[in-house]
Amino acid sequence: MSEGLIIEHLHVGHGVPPAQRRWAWKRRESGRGPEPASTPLLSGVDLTVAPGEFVALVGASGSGKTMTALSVLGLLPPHVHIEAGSIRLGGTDLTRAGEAELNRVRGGRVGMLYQQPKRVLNPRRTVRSHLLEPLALHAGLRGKAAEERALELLSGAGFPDPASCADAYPHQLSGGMAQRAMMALALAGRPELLLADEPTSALDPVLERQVLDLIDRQRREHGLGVLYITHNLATVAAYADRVAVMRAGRIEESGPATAVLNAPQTDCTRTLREAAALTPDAKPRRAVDHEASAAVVLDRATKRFPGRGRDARPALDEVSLEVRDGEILGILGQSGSGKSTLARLVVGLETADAGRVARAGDGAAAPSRTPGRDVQLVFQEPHDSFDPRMRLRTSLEAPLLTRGGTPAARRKRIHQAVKEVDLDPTILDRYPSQCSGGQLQRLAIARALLLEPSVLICDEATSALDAVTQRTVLDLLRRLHESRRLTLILISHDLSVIRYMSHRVAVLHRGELVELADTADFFARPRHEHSRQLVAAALPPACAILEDQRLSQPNVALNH
Amino acid sequence: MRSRTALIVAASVLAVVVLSVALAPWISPYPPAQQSLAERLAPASPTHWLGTDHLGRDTLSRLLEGGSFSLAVACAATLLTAALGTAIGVVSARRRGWIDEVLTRTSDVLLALPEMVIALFVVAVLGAGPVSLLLALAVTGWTPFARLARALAYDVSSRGFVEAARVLGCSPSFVVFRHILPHLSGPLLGQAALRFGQFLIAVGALSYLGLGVQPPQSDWGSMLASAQPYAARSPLGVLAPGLVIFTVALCVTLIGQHLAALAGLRTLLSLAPSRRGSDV
Repeated sequence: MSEGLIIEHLHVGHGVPPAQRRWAWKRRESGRGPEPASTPLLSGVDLTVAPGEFVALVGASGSGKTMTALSVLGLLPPHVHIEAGSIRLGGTDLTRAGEAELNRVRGGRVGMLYQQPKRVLNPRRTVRSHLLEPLALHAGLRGKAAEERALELLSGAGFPDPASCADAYPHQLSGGMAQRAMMALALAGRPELLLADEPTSALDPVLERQVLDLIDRQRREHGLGVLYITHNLATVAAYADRVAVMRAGRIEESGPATAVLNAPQTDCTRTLREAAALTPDAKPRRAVDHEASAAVVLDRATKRFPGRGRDARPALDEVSLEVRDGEILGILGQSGSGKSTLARLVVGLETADAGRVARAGDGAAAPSRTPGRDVQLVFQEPHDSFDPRMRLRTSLEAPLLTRGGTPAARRKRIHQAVKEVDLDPTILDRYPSQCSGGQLQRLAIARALLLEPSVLICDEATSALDAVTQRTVLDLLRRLHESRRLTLILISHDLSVIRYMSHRVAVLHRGELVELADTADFFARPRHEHSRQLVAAALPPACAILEDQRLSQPNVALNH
Repeated sequence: MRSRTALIVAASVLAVVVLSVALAPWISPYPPAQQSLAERLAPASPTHWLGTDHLGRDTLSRLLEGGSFSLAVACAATLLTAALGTAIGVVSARRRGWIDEVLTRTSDVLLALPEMVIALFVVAVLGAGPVSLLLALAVTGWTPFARLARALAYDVSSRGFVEAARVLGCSPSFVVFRHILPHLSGPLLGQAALRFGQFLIAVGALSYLGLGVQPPQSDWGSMLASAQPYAARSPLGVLAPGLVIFTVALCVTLIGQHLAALAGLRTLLSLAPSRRGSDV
């Protein structure tokens, strides 16, 4: 009887005049500057997910992927309405369903996975108490039966010891565990359809594979329809039956995954595919001088945070590392492995409890305690690293204020810096909310470079960006590395980024440096067990299927 | 949009009251201290719109004169406590450690004590008068501002742009004045409006107890007190100042709630970075 999800001619738009759109909530937006007021969010989306089918929905940020998923659940933000079209799930028209009917759908007939499970889980409730709720509401289970079912779901989600996981609070779970707990939660209502909104983009390859394998198994065993939203084409190639490519609220192309990815019919798909093709053949052009002096030296650096979690394991445990002048060092590690702590130590936001952190710019005396101008940091979340109430010009001017110079000279320097990252200086008169993530991340790089640092640390600087934007930012970093002889430390959980960019790779695992090797060596012969797992789990890039049609020069001239 | 109508009504009523109090010397029908024992406790009439008090003084004129004292003290108390509380809260949040501990515990203790009793004590020690009244209100009045400012400053300090400012070598004063305080302004403004209403009532209450202005000067609280014995013969003498205090406090509170709601919404939006789009 079940026919899965059928979306026909779905139009979604703002039901309010554009003047009030300030308050409209949109998760992410491609940010091609201010858009025309009448732009609908979704125009004529057609999409089907049959039971047991794995459908991927791909597209740049702001193309309407999340909006499509939210329409299914009837959870569109205020002022955003379905203007036309129908959404049917197993025969029920969800666009006409009342709130009560929709509540049976949400968490019942449709399960949902989110990008950041820890934001969705209530920090004051255990996994068990999260699970009991949908079990009571949607499966009608209470008491002992519900308890048993909860444990069963958790062991189904790959927890070897479900009872201890059930007693855990969200903060005690790692990113991958939290996503698997969410999976158990999503399946509690025995759904027909699973909406997975970038469930793995914050996870390293090992965990990504685990979560996707889990979804895939549920799909096969229970005939679950899966709508998988992502911008990671490699996972699409590996898992999806069909793929739909979205751009600006429309489905540009759809069809069997291999067909669409191998022979894209539209420019949009081609652009996405090229951006995703971080092929390692284009090595960093400037060879690193092995005799070069050290830009940053860590000598048995240890950092402990008091009272964190159950174990008193230091965040960083006797890490010794030497970053050579002019090299690109990639640092890999899961969340909580100490990558960010390392970055904060090097830049001077934290001081080491034991050991030594030395930067080339430091005087001979004791290492400076103030964050230095010689090492700069670019943060992960571009929207968070600029004050939303400040014009970008003011934000960029701030670091120059303490360094003297006339206003005119400062202005000139800022304009130069902005041009260097391929942006038009008029953008400086905007507020951060008026810019896209990619634009802001480039401005963050420009701001960091204003102080002429010799070392730039990018802490997951591209993981919040979609593939196309990520590519432009990475290429910008490479160019700056060339032109400025910049030493780069790139922190990421994404192997393809590290492989594309870096000369050497360092792997952090539970606060320890477990491997440090040349990039080619590392990917060919990882030595530490954890590294081997990482490399083994990495999916081939989506275009690897296409070795014969080698992409010539990646075309990343997008209208940013 | 009922709340919007309420806001407009409250704002206009408040504007009328404040304006007429400010213009009192020019618009009041009689000199406020002019006695006329022949017309004691007169009811409302075309000559005395709100009647007269037990010394035959015109109630309307005295209301207009008294307003300036009540409103000025409440206003000054709000500004003083807001400035003090914000400074203390921001210092707590930025310095942390023992300074934070001391300041937070102090405000906890002050919050636990009844505000009015402390105010009475201070006035009793310092003697009646506008300055001691102000101090009496300020002793405990800063605590809500400090708590709010501390919590918000803590939150803002953990945001990426504050860390970025540190890495970029911005001065601490830049961080406090350009990054932190602007993010605090909305909620603090809302809180200030709420507190203004409370201070107005407190000034009235202290004056009612004879701790505010000295005769023959009038103010709303003391008018209430002096008219009370004659409430049966001339209810208007009690009703008029009472209603004015009530109305002004209500108006300011309504405006404050509206501001706080607006600011709260904005704070929530700005504190959820991942939900911010580039929507213009």
